[in-house]
Amino acid sequence: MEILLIYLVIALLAEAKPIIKQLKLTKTADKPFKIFSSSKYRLIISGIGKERATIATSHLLTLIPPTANDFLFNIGICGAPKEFEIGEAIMINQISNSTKHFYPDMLLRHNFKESEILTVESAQNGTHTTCVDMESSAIFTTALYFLKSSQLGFIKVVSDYFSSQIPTKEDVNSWIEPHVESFERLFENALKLRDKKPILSKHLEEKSLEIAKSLRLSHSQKLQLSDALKYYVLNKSSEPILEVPDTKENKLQRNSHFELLISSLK
Amino acid sequence: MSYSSHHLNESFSHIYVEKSIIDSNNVLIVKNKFPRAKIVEIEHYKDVFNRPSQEYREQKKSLSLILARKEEPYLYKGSQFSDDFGFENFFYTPSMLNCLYDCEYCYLQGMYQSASIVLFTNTEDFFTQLKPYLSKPTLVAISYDTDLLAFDPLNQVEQWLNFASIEQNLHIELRTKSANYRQLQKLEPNNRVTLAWTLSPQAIIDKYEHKTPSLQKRLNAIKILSDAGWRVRICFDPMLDVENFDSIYNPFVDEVFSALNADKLSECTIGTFRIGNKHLKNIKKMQHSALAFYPYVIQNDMALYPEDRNSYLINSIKSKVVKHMPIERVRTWQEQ
Repeated sequence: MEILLIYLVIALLAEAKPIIKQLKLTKTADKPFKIFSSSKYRLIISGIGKERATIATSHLLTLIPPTANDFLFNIGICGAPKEFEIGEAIMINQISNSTKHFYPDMLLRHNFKESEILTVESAQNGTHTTCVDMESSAIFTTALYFLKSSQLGFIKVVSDYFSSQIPTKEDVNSWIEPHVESFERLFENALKLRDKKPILSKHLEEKSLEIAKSLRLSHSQKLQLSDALKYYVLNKSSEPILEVPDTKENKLQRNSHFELLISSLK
Repeated sequence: MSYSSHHLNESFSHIYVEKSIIDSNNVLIVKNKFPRAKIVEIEHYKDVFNRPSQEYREQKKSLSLILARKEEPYLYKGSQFSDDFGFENFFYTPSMLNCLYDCEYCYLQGMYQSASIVLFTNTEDFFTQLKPYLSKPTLVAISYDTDLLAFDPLNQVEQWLNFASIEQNLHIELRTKSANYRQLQKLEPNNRVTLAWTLSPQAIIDKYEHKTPSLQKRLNAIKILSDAGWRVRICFDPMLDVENFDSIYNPFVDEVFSALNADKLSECTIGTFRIGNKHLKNIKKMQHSALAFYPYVIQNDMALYPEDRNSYLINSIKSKVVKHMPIERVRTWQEQ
């Protein structure tokens, strides 16, 4: 059975620690990035900023390439306008950088407030009308090389009202820790959400390859066979019993066998 | 495919609105109809609708709504896959993109990258562009890349029908699978407005036309509106070449004509499933419907049933329909 994975990209170890503890992850790599893992989770510590976030996200998703059922979440602290409370968790519905806007699909049910976020180059003083961080847009654009927009989630916890002062590890822990159970529930729900399976089983794929070899099928005939098998499986909700024919020297015989096979699958 | 719906947001939990229209009346009307929806302000609808790496099938499980202002053009020439009913001017209007329903054969899933519904709120601009054509009889299909009667938060159907009551050369086709007769019941029937109802056997509805009203409900809506004087065309289109075609479609024709008075129907159109090959290829990639993998014949970049099979499907149903309705009022897409 396929093991589904949740990928987590987190900038700072201090942000990740309560999550690592909740998910019972163990360190599986130290360089070039710290990675913490379990059978269901892969968490990478990216470091601060867009460049590190890009490299770490790419590294994580290359190490174990994701399947169509996996999810990636970015979790971290952010600056926010005063309408949000310090320590409040926010689900991000729009990510902007200086030139573009990005939209993770909002399919997953959750209990957090929602907001847009602006990804900037450095810690921000002053005022902004939206939440601000330093990684989201880079993680989104990088992850999109590996995953669909409906497989991405961004959760931020408010750390300040646009102050460039560096928070202590204890502060970061105190903001993240209260949310870890909600995060875990969300991850578990995400894993239950997707159930994409290939139409053809491994067994049927193998049989189909053997038949293609035996009948010396052309590329277009192979596609025709694959479509016919998919039609059969989806239509009848069962698999056809396929027999691999003996190798035939005569092209006419091979083609005639192929035509018979295709019409038996209608 | 099954999925855990209670882990999903409900449809229209999120409404994306172009900033330029955020304070418009029409946007307020829609927001009021979905008071719990989260509003996300966007620059342009294409930023959300046309973004890369979307999954149509996943998005279909929890639809988002995008409110936008349509820019020109507002009218498009009718497609080669549709009947123009002899009108020289035949247009369709994209007042909405995508559909509430989820039919497995729908070309929209092969045409758009996103399943989100885009609702263009500036209906009056469509009317303005149409006016110069109205010196001649003009047919406009107003429910083309959508099912407008099924989901119409701005009452655009009513706006179009009111416009048609003033413009004597304007003929409207409203294609639907909806059972929403109440929206039309309150309006005066207009002989230049054709309600084109797609009907399918219940077994086909159950298997392939997800989230659509039952055959019984559609027949009930047709009966009420045709009795009230509305011009109704019934469409056995698309018919699907399924196993046991005869035992599914033959009783269906009888059921339809025993429920409806054929004298009160303007036409019956019969057509088999056909789709642009490019759209079919995109639907195949979604790997979810047997219909995508049928051994179609490709002609002029269009996927069709093989000619002998197509003729059989059309003729067997046509021969039954003409027992209930004069042949002059039975149209087949094949004959165009």
